[in-house]
Amino acid sequence: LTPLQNLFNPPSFRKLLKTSNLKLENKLKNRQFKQQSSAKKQRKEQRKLRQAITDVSHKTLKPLERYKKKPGEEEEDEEEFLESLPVDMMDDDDLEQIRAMAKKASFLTRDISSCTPVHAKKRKSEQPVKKYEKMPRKMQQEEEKELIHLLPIKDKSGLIPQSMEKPVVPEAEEEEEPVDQDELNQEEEPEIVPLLTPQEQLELRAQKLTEKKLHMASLSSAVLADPHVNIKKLKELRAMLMETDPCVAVTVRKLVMVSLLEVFKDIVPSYRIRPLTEEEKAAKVKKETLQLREFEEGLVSQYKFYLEDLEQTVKDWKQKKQKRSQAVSLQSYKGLAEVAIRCICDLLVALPHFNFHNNIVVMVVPLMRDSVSEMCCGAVSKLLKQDKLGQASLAVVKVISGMVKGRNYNVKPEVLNCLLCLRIKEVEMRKDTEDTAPKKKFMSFKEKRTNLSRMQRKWKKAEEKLQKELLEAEASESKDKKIKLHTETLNIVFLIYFRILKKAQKSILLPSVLEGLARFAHLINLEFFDDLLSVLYGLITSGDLTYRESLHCILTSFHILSGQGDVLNIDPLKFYNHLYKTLLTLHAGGRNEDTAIVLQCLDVMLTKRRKQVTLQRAQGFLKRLSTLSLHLLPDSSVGILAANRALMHTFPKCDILLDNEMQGSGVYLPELDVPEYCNPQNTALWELHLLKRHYHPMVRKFAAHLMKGAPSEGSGALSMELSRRTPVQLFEDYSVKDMSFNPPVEHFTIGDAFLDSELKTLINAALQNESELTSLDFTSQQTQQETRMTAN
Amino acid sequence: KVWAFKAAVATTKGDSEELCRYTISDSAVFNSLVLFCIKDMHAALSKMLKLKAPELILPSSSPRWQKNQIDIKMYVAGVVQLLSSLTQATVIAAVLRHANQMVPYYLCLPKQCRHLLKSLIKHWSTGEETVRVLAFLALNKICRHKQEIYLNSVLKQMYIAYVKNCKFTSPNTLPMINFMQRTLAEMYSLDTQVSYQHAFIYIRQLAIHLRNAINLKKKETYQSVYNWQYVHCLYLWCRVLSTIYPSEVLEPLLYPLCQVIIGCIKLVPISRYYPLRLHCVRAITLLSANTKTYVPALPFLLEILQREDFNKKPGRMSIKPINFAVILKLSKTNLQEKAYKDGLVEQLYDLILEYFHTQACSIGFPELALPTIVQLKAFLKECKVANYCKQMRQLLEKIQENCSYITGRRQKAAFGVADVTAVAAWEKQVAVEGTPLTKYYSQWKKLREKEIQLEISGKERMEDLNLPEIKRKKAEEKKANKKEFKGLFESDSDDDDDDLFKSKGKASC
Repeated sequence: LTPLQNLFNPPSFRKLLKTSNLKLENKLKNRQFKQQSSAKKQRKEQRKLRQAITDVSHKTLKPLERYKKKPGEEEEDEEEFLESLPVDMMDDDDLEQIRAMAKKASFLTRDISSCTPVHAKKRKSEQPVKKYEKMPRKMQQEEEKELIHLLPIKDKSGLIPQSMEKPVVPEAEEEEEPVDQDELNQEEEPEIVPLLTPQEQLELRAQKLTEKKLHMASLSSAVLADPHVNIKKLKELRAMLMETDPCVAVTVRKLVMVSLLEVFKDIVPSYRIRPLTEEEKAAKVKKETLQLREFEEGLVSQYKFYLEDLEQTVKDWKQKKQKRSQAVSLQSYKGLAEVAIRCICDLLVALPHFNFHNNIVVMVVPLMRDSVSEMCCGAVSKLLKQDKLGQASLAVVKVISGMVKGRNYNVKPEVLNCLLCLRIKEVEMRKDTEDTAPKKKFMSFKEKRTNLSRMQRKWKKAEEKLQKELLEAEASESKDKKIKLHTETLNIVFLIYFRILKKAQKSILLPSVLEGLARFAHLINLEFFDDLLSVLYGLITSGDLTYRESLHCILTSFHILSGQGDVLNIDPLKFYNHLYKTLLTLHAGGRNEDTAIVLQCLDVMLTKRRKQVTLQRAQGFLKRLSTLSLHLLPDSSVGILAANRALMHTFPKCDILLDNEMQGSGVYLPELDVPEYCNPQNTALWELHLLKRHYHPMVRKFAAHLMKGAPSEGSGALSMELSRRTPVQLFEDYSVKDMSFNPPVEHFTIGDAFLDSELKTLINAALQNESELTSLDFTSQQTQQETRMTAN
Repeated sequence: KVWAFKAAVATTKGDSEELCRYTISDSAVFNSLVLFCIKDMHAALSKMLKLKAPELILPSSSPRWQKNQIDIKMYVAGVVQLLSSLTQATVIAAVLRHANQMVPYYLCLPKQCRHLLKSLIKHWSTGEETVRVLAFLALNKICRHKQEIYLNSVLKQMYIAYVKNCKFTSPNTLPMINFMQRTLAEMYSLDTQVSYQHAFIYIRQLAIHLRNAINLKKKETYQSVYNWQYVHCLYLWCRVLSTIYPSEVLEPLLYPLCQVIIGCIKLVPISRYYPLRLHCVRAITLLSANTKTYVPALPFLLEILQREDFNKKPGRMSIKPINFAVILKLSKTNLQEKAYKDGLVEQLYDLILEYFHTQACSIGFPELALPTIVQLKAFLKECKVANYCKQMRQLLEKIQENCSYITGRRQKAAFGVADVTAVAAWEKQVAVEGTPLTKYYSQWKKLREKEIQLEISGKERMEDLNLPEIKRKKAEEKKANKKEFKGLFESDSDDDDDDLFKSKGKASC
């Protein structure tokens, strides 16, 4: 909506004062309408262009392929549908221009392999129209009533003179006609000859399937072509869900489910449809509005039935009941249900704004613990990731919370891992500030009267009115609302987490709880801090945790402390010591992924809290981290060394670790587990010399860099890109998980093997001479070889 | 001389094709002829062509070459044919020795040379010990003198032959594989540029196999990595890179090779594959010892120490110790045996000591050793088996001794960490003087070698006990061989000529 605001120039005050409010309103509305319509036009132009391009590219497809149920096909159809609508609203010259552009585009993008020239289309488009006129007569022979009376309507709406995609629709119809006739013949066949050989049965089945497929395709493309008119076909399509013919029932049902899914995805409007009130029903409306209402009503009811059908399928599968006619055997229920679940999941992700979304959530969430959990969890995570409004997330979280509690914490950890995908960045921390803020905007009448002059008041009034309108014009997803939703969501999430921490510490959910806490720690309410910290510390010291879990504990507590927690007076020394002690559990043989968390911990604990950390502690960590980097896989080593670099920058005094002089008393005690007391000042980072001989080029680079005291400029400095990356990023950059080589192994060929240009010329000279001195060459090489061999 | 030579050509031809002017029906004649050829042909030829003593002058430079070229060609081809048709090791060895002498002639005749190379590679990869050595010598000679023509293809074929022949590893074949590794490394050292191309391609191939295994996570793909061929290839490249160490050309390959080895270790880190891990660690140790590259290997050893519960009573007792050198994978019953744990502790001791030995003089030794010390201390605290504790305590003491030695020395040093040259000089100095660990290691190595010798002889004694059946098999094989020979020679004079060959072989050796 920003362009709208930008374009709208607020009228000058004088004008405001002179014109009445009504006029002003009208003016505003007019302007808005103008802008909207021009924006619409623009969008249409673009769409047209796109359509023209896709149309040409699709042109080369064989007609038969078109009838297989592919999502791609539906998309194509959808664009046709969009295309057919807006033409009447366009100016003629616009249309011309578009057409010219479309032709150009088609000429450019035309597939060379297709032999039909662009102009051939014009001729083609005439032929189908002729055939079209015959169509109603033909259709009358058939028994299917709905098809008959609907098709002519489509013709009317679809008759756009010379539009580019025109041929596509009629061609489709052409294909159908003969098949439809065949259908009639074949449907009688099984009744006559019930006993067939297996091969014939197979053939028959294939035939039936193609028929059904074609039927489905025609129905769905009809719906897509003009959903407002053909909404009834949706019902027909949905009726196919009840396919009774035992030999094709399962396949047909699956296909119908998927095609309905795609159809719904395409035709559902971008707003929620609300039921009409009695008054609205009673009021007289325009014809178009009536049509729209009918469409909406039909859509909602069909959608509802569709969902119910899906749910029923899943339920049947779960209860292992053999119901709904004998057409479907028990075994195939599983496949059927899987398809149904996939459809539900797809809808969950694709239509979060539409009616019945909550019902879908309620349907999906319990399935997250079943055998299909992977699919469902994936869908839920995706939804949470995509959700911008927060409403859907809230619904999901609510249901999950209920389930976790209801199941007595006996759910899969994946369910809780989904919550990590929540996109929550801020919540309202204190309600007081939030409440007071908006009130300031509008003064009370009394205040105005006392503070402002008459003129000012008038002006102010107008301004306020404008502002209110603008606010309304803005979509409902205002920031306040979003934040409120987020707050509520997060409260529920924390409720889940705290419940588990309190009641079910031994459950398998603990790792994901800790991970979640670490992720959202900065959003936790201040009141919980004390308790949470003590619980976390208890967990760490209990020793039951795996290394990763304890790292999460530490990370959580420091996230808490680094945010608003700095007001708390808690000494995190124990956490430091614990991390220091356990650092050596990290090594190349174990899990490599933990390094990322360690790096995060180090960042929060040392670099971000530089004022609270003593030099001794920093040095102790520096020394131990360097030692640690000897024993890690290269990516972790690079990460740790980068963290060391950050440490050296934040604590410049650490450079005494590069000197070999004794400072004060005591010797370095590498085995002591307290960083403060191990006398790190009395040692040096000698391990850098080992790392300088490391096999990984990046580790060598970092070691050499640290050896020079991590200078930010000069000969020992890192390149710009490297120095900007954080340790965690570097760790990810140089990941060795899937045997990728970063930095790549350079592969040079013989001629270019020498980087030194002088050497190269020498070699070239030598190569030229070689042909003359073959015999001499042998002897010289031989002597070399012999000396080498004797050396060995 | 030329007459005799021509006759010889005919006979060698005759023995395989029997389509010549002279058909040799009498095997005694044949034998003496072949013997004569092998003994005197080289000298006769060089005399005929008036070549001077040094071998390396090509015979084609002689003025008489044109005249005799066809005859020589025939003879030389005959030798190759003879070589490929023989089966008895001693005979082959003699012919090979002759072929070695004749190399200059082959060098002038590309087609024959190619045939010779083919059969040489076959003998190099499958023959018996002396045969292998001789074949390698000939190969090396040819490649050294005509690098640009033959080296590339020879290296490729040799590598393929190597891979083919290291599918199975047993105490008997292990020395053969080692021999092939060593000799291949020699071959690769002839021209580092060419070797780089080969090594790059083959290491990449290994990496691709590994990547597939990582990504697909299926049993079949694991198998494509966890097999002897793969491990031996890793070992081969380690050996090649460490033999040709100070080489700028090959050095960039250290990085991918190390990555592949470590990736291989981490692919399926379960206890059943510990032997494979130990092989990999051994390869890393070899590589890092010879190339002055630091490759972390200790964590993989310490992880075993950490994960394995040595206190648990072994479920089964077994007499036979497990030979970790010739297995990759342990069976489930093996895991419960006492022999497994004994062997594992011993292997860990060996490998840790060996690895530390390679880094003993490094200035960062105490840091390198820290996790090991911590881990060993924890182990000693936990472990209740006296035997294991004894070994590990000894190891710990040695490491700590070395640690304190290095720490003491470096504290006295006057330079800082940034001074690279001073550190290098310091490390060199320490290496010359020797550290406690290096001293101990050399003692231990001697003892260990003796032990291994004893073990081997012990095994032989064991084999002696089992001998009867094995011997019979061998005898049968020999008989079969003899039968073949009889068919060819149609006499029993082959025995004495065998003796002759042997005596000659000894003399030349």
